[in-house]
Amino acid sequence: MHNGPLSLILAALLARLPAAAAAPGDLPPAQEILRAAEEALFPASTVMRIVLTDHRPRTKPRGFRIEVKAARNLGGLLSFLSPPTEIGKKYLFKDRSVWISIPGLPNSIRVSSKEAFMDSTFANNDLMDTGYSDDYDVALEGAALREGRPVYILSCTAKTPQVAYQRIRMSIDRETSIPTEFEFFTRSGLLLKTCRFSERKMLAGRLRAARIEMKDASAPEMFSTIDIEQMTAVALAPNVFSTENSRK
Amino acid sequence: MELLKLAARNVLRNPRRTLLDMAAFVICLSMLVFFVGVYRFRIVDGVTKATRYRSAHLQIHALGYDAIARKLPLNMDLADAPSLQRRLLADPRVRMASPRIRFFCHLAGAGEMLHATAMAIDPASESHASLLPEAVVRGRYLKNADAGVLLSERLARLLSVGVGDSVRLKARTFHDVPNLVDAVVIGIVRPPFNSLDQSAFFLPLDFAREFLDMQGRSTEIAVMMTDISDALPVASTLVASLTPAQRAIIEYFDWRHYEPALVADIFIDTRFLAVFFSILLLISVFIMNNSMSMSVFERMREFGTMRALGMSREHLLALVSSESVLIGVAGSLAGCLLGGVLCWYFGTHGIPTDVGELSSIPVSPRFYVISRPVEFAGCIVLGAFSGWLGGLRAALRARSLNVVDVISAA
Repeated sequence: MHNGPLSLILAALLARLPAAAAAPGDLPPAQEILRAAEEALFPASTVMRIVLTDHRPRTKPRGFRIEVKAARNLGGLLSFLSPPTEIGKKYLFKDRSVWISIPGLPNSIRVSSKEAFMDSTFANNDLMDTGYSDDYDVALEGAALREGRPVYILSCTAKTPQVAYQRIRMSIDRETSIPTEFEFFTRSGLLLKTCRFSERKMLAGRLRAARIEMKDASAPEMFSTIDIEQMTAVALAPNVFSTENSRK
Repeated sequence: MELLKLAARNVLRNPRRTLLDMAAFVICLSMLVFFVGVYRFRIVDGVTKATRYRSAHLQIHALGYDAIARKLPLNMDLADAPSLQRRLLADPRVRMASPRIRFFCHLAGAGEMLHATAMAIDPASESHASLLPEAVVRGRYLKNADAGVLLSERLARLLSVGVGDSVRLKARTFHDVPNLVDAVVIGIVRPPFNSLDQSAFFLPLDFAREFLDMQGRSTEIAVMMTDISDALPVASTLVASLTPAQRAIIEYFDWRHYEPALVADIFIDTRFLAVFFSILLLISVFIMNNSMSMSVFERMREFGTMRALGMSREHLLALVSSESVLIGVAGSLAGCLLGGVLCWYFGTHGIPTDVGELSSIPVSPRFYVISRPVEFAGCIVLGAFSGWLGGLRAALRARSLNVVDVISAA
């Protein structure tokens, strides 16, 4: 199913911004833009400290401080640092599966990568699998202006039906390659979630987005944010991303 | 025959006592006739509505589905469902064999999003067997090509939507990927019993398959028979027609598996009724025993005279027993008459129930009565037996009397 109204809006936006549109020959290949955006998001191998906050109406926001170890093509390991009730819990993402290790339990629990992470707006794979080029065919829709900055608009279409989002529309800053917004669409063409990247900081040796906000299109009053407090580019060994290591 | 005439004359000699003896039987057996009729309605109505609304007479699934059915897994679909469906429809005992998909879904209307259970059906093939067409109170029943839903009244109220409004469905597809779709409210149903199933809604199978990315797949085949007792025999016939490889990947259960609360309710009610009426009959037997004992005691001299004139002990036993049997039969006939009147009245007007929305078993808003000749005939037999049992002790006492002692005491 095609999202007719959104396509019309995009066409109108591009039509009104002739100065922002570039000639087809001036635009780099879509895969290159996507790769640059992935690099701008996180280093190939990194250790980060983040704060995930879940906002819901009429309730106090829930916050989790998490240490993230991630390496492209190897996996991701999340260890909770706070609140005290979550200390010791770990999430391991490897080979498109997610295992949860809880102190006191002898075995890890396997969960779906498409499930919500800690009941937030982020899905497990949103946090742990940011290698979009593996799962999506990417095409360059064009260029536009977002909040006064020129951006590329990429359209990523899922290669297989098992991928979490059938289509992602990405807005990537032309100058810094930092993503500004991702829109996630379902198989039916409806907008499922919107992810905004903001607050640029020097992290792991370059300018990156330090705040990521994910909003559910069906319930806009509920949203979750990730604030990156610290990020270091570190080479991580493959055995870091093992179920044995996650149970230590 | 002479004995019966004599017994009848003896019974009529003390009409007040006879009527009092009969009264116990009248009350007990009229209640028996009436409550059996109510209870039969309860069972037939409950089973019919439960099977026509949700469980069907028989369900066929992929092997292993039932073990995790509470998760409503989509990825355990039934292999070669069309072939199974064709085989079932070829059986003359089968009224309906229709594929379905059950899944969890979030629904959003004007207000917040709610969690609900969805059942995707083939509207055309289920229309003549399902309860849904009759349950529609606003709008209309589904058509195969609809991109819409049937909501229960409760769901529509909670979502603040009506016929023609749009609702958004959110669910995980066959590949465990979230999907959204907008659907029109085609109709609103009022399930004809108060039930927790008011959080369920219905949509056409083709629409659901597109939404769930399950083209050609289904998680079950729901089967309805002309006679519910044919459910398991039909399943056995189907299984016998399959190859071992095909047999190894399916499982089937009849309605009792899916309606455990209803089955338990029937079991408990049956036992309760049996105990209750046994107690009532026992009371009647004791009343009869007491009354006949008094009657025999009063007529000891008469019995002694009859024995002296040549009546055998066995004839005397038969006489007294016949009296008590006659009272029992007369009481049960009157009880059947009274019970029949009650059955007719409440069969026409019904008995209002007020179970409320939290009942997990089908309970109609009104109970009626379904009577059959078998309970009337059974009551007469029961009345005769109870009468005989009640008078047995007195009859044995009469048989064992000593003629000389009785006459000389007088």
